Amino acid sequence: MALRVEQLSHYGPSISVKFHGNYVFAGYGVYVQVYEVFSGKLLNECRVFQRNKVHGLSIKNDTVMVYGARSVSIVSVASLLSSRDQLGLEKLCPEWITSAEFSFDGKTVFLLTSYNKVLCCDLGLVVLKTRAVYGERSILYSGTITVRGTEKVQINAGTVMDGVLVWDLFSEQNMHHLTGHEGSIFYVTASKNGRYVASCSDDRSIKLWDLESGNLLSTGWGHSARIWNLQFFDNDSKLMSASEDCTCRVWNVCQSTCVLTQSESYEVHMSKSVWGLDVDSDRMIAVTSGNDGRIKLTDLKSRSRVGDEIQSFSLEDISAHGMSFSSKEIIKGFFWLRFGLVVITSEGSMIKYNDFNATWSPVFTNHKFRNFSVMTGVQKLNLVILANGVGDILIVKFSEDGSQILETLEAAVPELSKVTNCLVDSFKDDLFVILQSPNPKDHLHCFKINSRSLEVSAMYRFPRPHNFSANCMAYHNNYLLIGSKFSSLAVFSLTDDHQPPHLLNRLLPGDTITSLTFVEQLNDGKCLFSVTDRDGFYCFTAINMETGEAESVLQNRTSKRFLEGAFYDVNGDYITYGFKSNYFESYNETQQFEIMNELCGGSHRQWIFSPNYGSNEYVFAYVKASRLNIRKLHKPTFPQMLRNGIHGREMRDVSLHPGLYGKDQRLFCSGAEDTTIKLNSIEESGESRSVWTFRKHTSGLQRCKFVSNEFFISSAAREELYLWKISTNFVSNPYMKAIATLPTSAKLPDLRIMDFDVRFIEDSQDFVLVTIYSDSAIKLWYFDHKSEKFTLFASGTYETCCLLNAELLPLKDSLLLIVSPSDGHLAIWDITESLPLNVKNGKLQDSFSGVSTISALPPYFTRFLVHRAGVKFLQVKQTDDASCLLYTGGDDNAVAISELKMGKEEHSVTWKILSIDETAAASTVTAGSLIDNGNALLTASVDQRLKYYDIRENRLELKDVMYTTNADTGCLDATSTPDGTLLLVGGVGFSVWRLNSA
Amino acid sequence: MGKSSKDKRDLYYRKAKEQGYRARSAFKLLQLDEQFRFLDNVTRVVDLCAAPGSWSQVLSRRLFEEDPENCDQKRIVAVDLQPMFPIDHVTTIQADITHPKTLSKIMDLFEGEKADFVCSDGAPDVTGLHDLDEYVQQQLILSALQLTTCLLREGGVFVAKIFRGRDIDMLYSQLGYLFERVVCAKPRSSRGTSLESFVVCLGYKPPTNWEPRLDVNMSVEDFFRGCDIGRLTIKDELPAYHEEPRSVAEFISCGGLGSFDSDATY
Ligand SMILES: C[S@@+](CC[C@H](N)C(=O)[O-])C[C@H]1O[C@@H](n2cnc3c(N)ncnc32)[C@H](O)[C@@H]1O
Repeated sequence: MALRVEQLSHYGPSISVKFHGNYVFAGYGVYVQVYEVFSGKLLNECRVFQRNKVHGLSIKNDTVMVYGARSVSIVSVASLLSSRDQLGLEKLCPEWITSAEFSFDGKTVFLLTSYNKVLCCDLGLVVLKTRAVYGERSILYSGTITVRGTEKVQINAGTVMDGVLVWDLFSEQNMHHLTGHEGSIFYVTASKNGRYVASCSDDRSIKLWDLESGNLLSTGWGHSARIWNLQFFDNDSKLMSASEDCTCRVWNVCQSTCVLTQSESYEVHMSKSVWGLDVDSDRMIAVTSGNDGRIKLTDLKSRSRVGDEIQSFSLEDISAHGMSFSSKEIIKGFFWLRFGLVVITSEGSMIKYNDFNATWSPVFTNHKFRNFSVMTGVQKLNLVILANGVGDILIVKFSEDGSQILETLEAAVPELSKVTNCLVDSFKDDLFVILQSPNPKDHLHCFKINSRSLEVSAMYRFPRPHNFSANCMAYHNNYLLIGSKFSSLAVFSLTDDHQPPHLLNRLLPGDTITSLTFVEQLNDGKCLFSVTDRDGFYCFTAINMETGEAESVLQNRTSKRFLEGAFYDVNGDYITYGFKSNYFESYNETQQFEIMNELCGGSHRQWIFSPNYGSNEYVFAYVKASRLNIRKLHKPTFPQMLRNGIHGREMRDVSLHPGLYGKDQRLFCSGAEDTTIKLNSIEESGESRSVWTFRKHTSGLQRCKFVSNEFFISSAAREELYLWKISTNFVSNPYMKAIATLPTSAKLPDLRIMDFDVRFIEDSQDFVLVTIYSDSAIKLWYFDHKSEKFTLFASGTYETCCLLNAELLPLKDSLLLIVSPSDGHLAIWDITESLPLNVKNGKLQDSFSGVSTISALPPYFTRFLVHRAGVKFLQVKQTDDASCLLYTGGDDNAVAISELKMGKEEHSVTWKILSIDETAAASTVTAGSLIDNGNALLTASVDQRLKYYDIRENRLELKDVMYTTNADTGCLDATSTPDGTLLLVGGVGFSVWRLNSA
Repeated sequence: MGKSSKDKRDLYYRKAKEQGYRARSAFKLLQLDEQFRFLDNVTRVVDLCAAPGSWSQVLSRRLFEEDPENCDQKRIVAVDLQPMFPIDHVTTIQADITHPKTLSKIMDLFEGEKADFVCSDGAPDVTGLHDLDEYVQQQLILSALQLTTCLLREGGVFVAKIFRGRDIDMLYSQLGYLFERVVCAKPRSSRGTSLESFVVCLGYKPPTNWEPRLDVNMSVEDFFRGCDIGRLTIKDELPAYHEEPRSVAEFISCGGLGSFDSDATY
């Protein structure tokens, strides 16, 4: 049985990035990837090292020196652009290479090692000379080489205890010993102009030193975690820093006072650590890479690249265009149309701003709309709607360029003595305008207006539900969906406005529903809407508009943001926007990055966020300090992301959905130390994409798996366990929602649910769940899918250790529970007696009718010692109705196959170890999976090896060893496909493999 | 390594408090000793990377309090980057153990006498770059080993903290040249979920063809040049990539099955 192994794709920490002309070179694991900046295209991926990760790149002319750990290689730009590998050039240095640079003339290279020594080599990496400062040979965390001339090379070395040593390469003399930081120095660099040295350390500060005198010039505080990288740019007038806090920041270096001041902060990466950083000073773009495997471009001129990104006007500025305003006149409302902005003032003056020629002009003045008025509009139709406090509305429809008024409509609702809100939506030729009074007894009044002629075609009076205050609305197929300030949603039928609406209560945890957006209509007629609330939650709800039945198929929380709205953009990415303290922020929720932020003062300001004509262009306008500010978001001139990664921290578990998604995609979920669960799609090529990032858990994930086509379960510390339901029948996206959770005992805040297992009741969606805990507790639950509730029916404990794996196994007429604790045993329970149902012929039967008392789990009836430390994975294969094979891997580096046989008498079992490999790995064996119809076992261990065993003979016959670049290798999942086995491996990063045992 | 709030609720943390140890780590050394009995009859020891000092406390109690004889022959030297509060009978030095000068300072304190036992519980700042963290960790061990080769008597014992990562088998292989027996031991008081273990090297056998020579201008790698464990060759050309010898050490879990497991939540 020959095995063909192919790694299809991988995602993991990227430690270094570098601009070179129109390219970005990125160290990505053992590869160098080359991207074209403007198209964002990955031009080539070239493997440069066997096992070591690329930590740094240095480019001179057309040659690239790549280094990482003890490996170094000098390759041509051309070969990185075109070849699959350059492994033949990899050389090994005896010590870790901290930094490497070409000499001034490019004919030799300098390698600075972790013991503060420089190897001077020729381009064939023959060592010509070694240099060091006498007696300064302790270990370095960081260091850089500054080449200033043929005879002038400066070494900047960061020690663990003694600050920074700056020394001259050729004289081997110390120039400065810069002390002042606390702890290890994590980066140190010198400016090109020869004036400064900048360093950062464990103490989270940046220090700027005078190179000439060695004096400390300034200390920059701001990062909330350790700092990993520093780069001078823009002629050494600025400094950029990259940190563990996921941000990079720009600091101004004042040329006269030499003081560092922070000017910008960009949140560029997920969850933990930005490592790589480079700045293209000509184009003013930064590239960063991080622990999340993301390679991100950031526009350092996002407010001035095109020139009209930010505009600001006061009424006084506007009056220069030939208009006059009274001294107390202020801006009351505004709306962005296809030609620019329309504004209403407190004196009832409507004025407009033509964005193409930057001129303001008056439209008209209507005193009815003095003082209180609301302005809204429909950009698609180029019209605005004004409503005043007494029930008058005025609609003004403009020509394309705004120069003419095509139609106007003035109407009134005399029944309403007061109006506080006006909402609008349009569909094809119809425009719907709703007016709401502050009196809860008043009806909601709705005009249906022909959007071309502006003639009122119908008028509706909807009874207003109790405790309902309309805040947003959406029209669809003769129904109006209205979101209230009190977390409810009402569906009104236009065919009969006397009918009370269908009410959907408590759709989201927060209060005010801020937006409703139609997403798609399903075959069964249900409509899917995206709904947001002000507390930062969003959901997708499928609603049957006729009956008012609704099902939320997804619910999620954004991180620390108030949500005002959300929508799918042209690329199918879900975009959210809202406020984060004093900032307005727009965020790409699918890809998890911030699109823009604007310091506007907060949500109580008047503001609008609207598309700006073309696709993916937006305008955010707001009033602050009596000025009208317009911030435009043009379509970026370069991609915002070169590669998106996966989790920011270690992946703890991965699980493939059992079915196919679409024609050739699959879905999988991953749970990580960063507390998020991601639902991802993966293509045949191995490329994967995160679809949703769920923030439901509050602690790092422990386990997650799909237990059926429909259900997925995740567990974590704090006794968190959620049952999720996945929906794959929508066109827009797959959706997933936590529908049930377990009650907690709340005894110990840190109690972890280490593992669980599920057995379905025959012909039912109900199942039995076992959960095992870090305090040795075991609990058994029944899940009733109709009520979506778990009921505890039995509980017990093992000894006093942490439990690691659980498996439910029906054999004949009993149900066995196999648990692997951290003491190396496998412990077996017969839990048949504790079950509130029957087991027949290996199947769970009968429906469950509730329990009156929680039974105590009997003690385990047998246990046997297989490993010398915790059993990290357990896989079970049933061989016949009375026996099974157990595959285990442990913290003791071993992998074993044991056999368990049930005897004739009750609780009589025999077991034996059939095969054990005591040195299966050099470190903990963390995961294993049976593949190839149970003929093979695949294991993963922390030494970054994957092993493939043939187990047909019940022996561990090692067939192949694969090396993965994902450190802390901790989980895997595999499935059979027509092309062999598709394998996902997770750890720090994640990789996709195809195995073929043809 | 930072203490997370988890430690606070840990059973060993409470036990350490009760018994007057500065850190829960004390139980790791105690459980290792329970298994290997390497502290029986030792008189001169070095505790590297010792702050806050719980291993030194264990050593001080064992060497001086439990056996108050021949105290003038006995010696405990403890070294760390961090300052340490004084411990009875322990000489403390604040220094970087990767610095060759530090090692010569320790040697001076022994005045030409050999040590019976060298341990290092060192853990560098974790950056999150797994390969760098593993490398620096191994360098701490190599520095400790460097001192060991200069100071340890034949047959003596060396114990060091390891994180079983990607290249741990390379370290086992290197240690195998210098000791009779190399074991990877995991005390129950060390978290099962962490990669931390201890390498226990029994029966020091100094290499015959190599004379350890401490020089303040030499790095650890320079130091081991010529010794079998060295990676340095005298050749000038950087060698092409090649796999270095690896071997897997015997694994022992110690502390007994009855003792508490520190992953458990109680
Ligand atoms: C886990 S603590 C040791 C705990 C100690 N065994 C006890 O029981 O109290 C690890 C120590 O290694 C020290 N360390 C790390 N790198 C070092 C170096 N290069 N030189 C000296 N000590 C170092 C740290 O300062 C830290 O105090």
